[in-house]
Amino acid sequence: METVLGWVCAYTPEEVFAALGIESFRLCGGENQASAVQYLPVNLCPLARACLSEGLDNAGTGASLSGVVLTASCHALVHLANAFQHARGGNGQFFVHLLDLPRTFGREDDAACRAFAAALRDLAGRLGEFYGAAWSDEAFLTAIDKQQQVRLLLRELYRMRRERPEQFRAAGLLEVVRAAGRTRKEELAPVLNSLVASLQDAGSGDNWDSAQDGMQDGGPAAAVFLEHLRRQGSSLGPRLLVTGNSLPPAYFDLIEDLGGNVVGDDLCQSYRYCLPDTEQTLDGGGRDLFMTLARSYLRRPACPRMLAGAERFAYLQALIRECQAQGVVYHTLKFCDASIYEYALLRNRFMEAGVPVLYLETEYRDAGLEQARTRIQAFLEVLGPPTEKY
Amino acid sequence: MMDVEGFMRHMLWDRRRWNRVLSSPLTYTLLGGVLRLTRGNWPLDAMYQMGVFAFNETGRAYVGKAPVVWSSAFFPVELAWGLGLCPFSPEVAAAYIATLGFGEETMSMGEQAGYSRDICSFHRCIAGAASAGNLPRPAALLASTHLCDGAPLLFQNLAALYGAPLLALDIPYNSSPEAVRYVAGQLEQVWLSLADVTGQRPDRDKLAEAVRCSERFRAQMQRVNELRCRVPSPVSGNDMLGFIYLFFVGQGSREAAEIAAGLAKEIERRVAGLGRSGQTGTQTEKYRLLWMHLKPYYNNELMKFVEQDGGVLAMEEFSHVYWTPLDPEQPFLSLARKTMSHFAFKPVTERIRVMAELARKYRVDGIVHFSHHGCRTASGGALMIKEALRDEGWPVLVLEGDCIDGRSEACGGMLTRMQAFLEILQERKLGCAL
Amino acid sequence: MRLMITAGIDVGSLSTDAVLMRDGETLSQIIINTGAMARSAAERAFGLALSAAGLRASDVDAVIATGYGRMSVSFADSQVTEISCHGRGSAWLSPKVRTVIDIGGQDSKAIRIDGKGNVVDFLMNDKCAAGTGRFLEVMAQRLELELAELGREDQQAARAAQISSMCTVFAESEVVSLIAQGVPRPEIVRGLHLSIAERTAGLANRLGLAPEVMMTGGVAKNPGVVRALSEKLGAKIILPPEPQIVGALGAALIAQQKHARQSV
Repeated sequence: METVLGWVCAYTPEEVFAALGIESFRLCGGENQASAVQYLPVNLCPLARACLSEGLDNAGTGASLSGVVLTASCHALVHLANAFQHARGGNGQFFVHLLDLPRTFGREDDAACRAFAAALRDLAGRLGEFYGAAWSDEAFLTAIDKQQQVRLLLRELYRMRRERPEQFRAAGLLEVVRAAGRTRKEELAPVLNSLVASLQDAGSGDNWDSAQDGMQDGGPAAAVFLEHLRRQGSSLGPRLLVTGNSLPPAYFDLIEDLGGNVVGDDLCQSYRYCLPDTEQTLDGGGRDLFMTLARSYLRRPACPRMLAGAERFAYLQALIRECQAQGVVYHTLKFCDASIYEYALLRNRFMEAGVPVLYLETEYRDAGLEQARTRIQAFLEVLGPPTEKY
Repeated sequence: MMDVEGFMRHMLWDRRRWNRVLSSPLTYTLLGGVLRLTRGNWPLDAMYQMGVFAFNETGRAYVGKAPVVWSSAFFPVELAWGLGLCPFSPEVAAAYIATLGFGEETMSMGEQAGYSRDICSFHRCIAGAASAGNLPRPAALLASTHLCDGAPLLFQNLAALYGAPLLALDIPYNSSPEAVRYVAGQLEQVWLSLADVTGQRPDRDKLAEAVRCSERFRAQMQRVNELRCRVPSPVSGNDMLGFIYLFFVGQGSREAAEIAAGLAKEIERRVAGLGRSGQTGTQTEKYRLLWMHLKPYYNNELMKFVEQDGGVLAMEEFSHVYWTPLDPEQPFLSLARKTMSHFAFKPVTERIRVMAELARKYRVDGIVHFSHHGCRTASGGALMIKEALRDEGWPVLVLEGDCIDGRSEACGGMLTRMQAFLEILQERKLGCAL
Repeated sequence: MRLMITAGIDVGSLSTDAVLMRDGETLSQIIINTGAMARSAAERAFGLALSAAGLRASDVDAVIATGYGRMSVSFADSQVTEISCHGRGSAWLSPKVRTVIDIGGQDSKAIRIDGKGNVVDFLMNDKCAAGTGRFLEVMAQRLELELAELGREDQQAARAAQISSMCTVFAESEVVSLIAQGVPRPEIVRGLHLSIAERTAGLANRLGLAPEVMMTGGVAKNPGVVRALSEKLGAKIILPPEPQIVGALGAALIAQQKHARQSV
């Protein structure tokens, strides 16, 4: 069976794995959180519990994990690393590393970038040793390049979705981004290329069948993506921005079933994955590629854990304007401190700014779907129909 | 017994007058008087001394005699003492609010301010007290990211509420010389910003003096811990958990160093049989326990129940002195090392190793992990800790509960778990049934 | 020497049980509803057990109370937790038992015991009613069934309805919408049993499952839950002749041992 390196957080530098030729796999977890029950208590982040179950069961991977690289972002991920070590790490055959991810506090702090660069270099060294892979700056540069290419193509999908939300299924977009975290970028780039090109050709007319026909060069993968991306049914509800943390796909579908249009998101399994911009930092970083990478990750818009509340509010407001969103869905996972505390701050800010917000809490599974239906429907009724297209 | 808490409750009877009462110097004069009357009733004179210190400092914060800085647990508060500021721990305040019996209503206010019941009850309580305007206004808020995700997030929100800056430390998980320098650099930056915000002159001699005091505190607490190895235990660990004020707020102050020295002397006298009543043990000691994390501070039977059944907290995780000596000549590097050396911000195997070591050293019969509901750091690892320590032969109880919030607790259930655990310990001791 | 007579009284949230024993032999056993007053339930159960055995209170050498209401049994000589009592009672009924699963009215427990019936470790779930007798009671009401009818209803199910929520309140609303969708009642019942089994299996697996497994407490009388749990655990489950009485039985046994030691 093939072995892969698992990771979770959107701040994880896949470029380093690719440079070493290590196959990596983004753990996203699913409905089943049962295998975690022995290791992590029920009052800990359900995403961490789901990812542990996924990793231990080798669920959905078709491959087995040879290790995990997790970020020391929060204590849920710290304990996720502990649990992997506890369950699998006994014989030294399983790689467990917690990568230090400095908090930015909303500042452009060079000390933090240097610290992150040092942490990345350290990670590369440890990975190279464990997997017996040699380091090459050239391979690193190629990896950075490919990753950037994929991110730009994904952003293009988001741009089209923003303009034609009635055609795009948000859960489908989530699936594409999840897949991006599980695929070699040099294989993915042509697929995305073909996908983007055919969707551009399909234009604003509801003509996805012709897009389907134009897919030949993207291969079967592109066709599957296209099928999943395709949205049908009512789209008479308002335009929404979804933020907070990872919303399970079934909830996106629920929002759309009720007529809501997801025009933008700020979620780490979705749009946030496409945010780091190595192009802009490549020149500024000099020849130190680790510093380049560190900058591109730390200088992108922050996540709630970065303690950059003011910066985040400004960013979300800009995003709302850009997407012409009429309301915000703030999703928190039960027991996720970063988003629960942030909500207490942002809810007042949004209220002052006159932005309607729906607070949605899930356990990262479909159990609460029926309760959510009523809340979401009521929120959509309050917001009314979509604003005129821009 | 003349009861300080009862007096406080009486003074704070009328909720509308809380602010007036708390910010009046007269309150603290009266409290000081009541405290003096109770001196003979404290199990340890050091507890009385700490009470005097805590009330003086709290008075100083509320009356506004010196710039107040809020500090979260495990932030190196020496920086604030070294600038002559008045550090205030809202987490300790939350524990005291719960002790006084005002926890539930205060938490409800926090919940109304948007804080879910799934987060730490200390923080919900603080958020509630802050939104009601019942806490001393901070000039700056100090928080560290290593042992608690919630505290810096809460402080960020409250910094916005008070219009004061959040000065936070980003502590790396992996220790290396560069990481230590990274933290030391931040400490220096925080110290300078703090001086700037509060209008103090950053004086390196004063900082060195604070670090010296902190080092004396460390050395004295270590002495206390050595003395506590005695069987039977010369001091009640439940009383020792009352000293969190010194650990969270006091380090770096002259007072904390002196109180710790007094405590060490007092226990020394007890060990030598010269204590007040001429005895060493404070009670009949049937089971020696190692206690992990904190305890319920709201009105709760748990600790009384443990003691009545002959359980003694021989040692507590929170009393353990885990850091190495500080060097006043290198304040930032020393404090960086101290902060980074906490065993709970390392692989969980480290916390397991330290606990097993304490269990052996203090010859305990069993280990209790009090799993505070909202604490991801401590509770998140509890199951793995239990399994590992159980494999080493220690009976372990993971006791799910809450330090501040008594509403969600099935009290009977908590006592039943505790009693069943003590029954296990008894069976092990007698080698046969109950 | 006169043979020693002891009593065990288990005051649970739903039922109060009393057992009288003489030297390892059960003289009588009584199960009644606890009702609102734990104290009077204990007295009543004790009185009924005495008259069933033809004894007077003064004939009894030692009484041990256990269960939620153990502290309110003023005539007991001592109080022991139901955890120790279920452990002891199960071992006495079947010495090979190493894991006891007790689903009571208010909570569920997984208990590991050694060969002598001493408790080695335990886990207890009492944070919410899900996975307890109370949960089944609420759901039975919603389905307009008697608690005792659930097992029979389960047997008529062709498959199980999907009930994903572990929370009583949410699960109840799921049941309501299943009824509205016209899902047959037996399938809903089996779905509920599966959800209890899943939760309980989680508890047992966290403790570490060691054979053999005995199930005690009122819910053990529901064959639907027992079958579902046995499947989830992948283990055979031993049932005592009267699952509800095991706590009181254990209390009477502990009283025998304790009293014997004191009188030596």
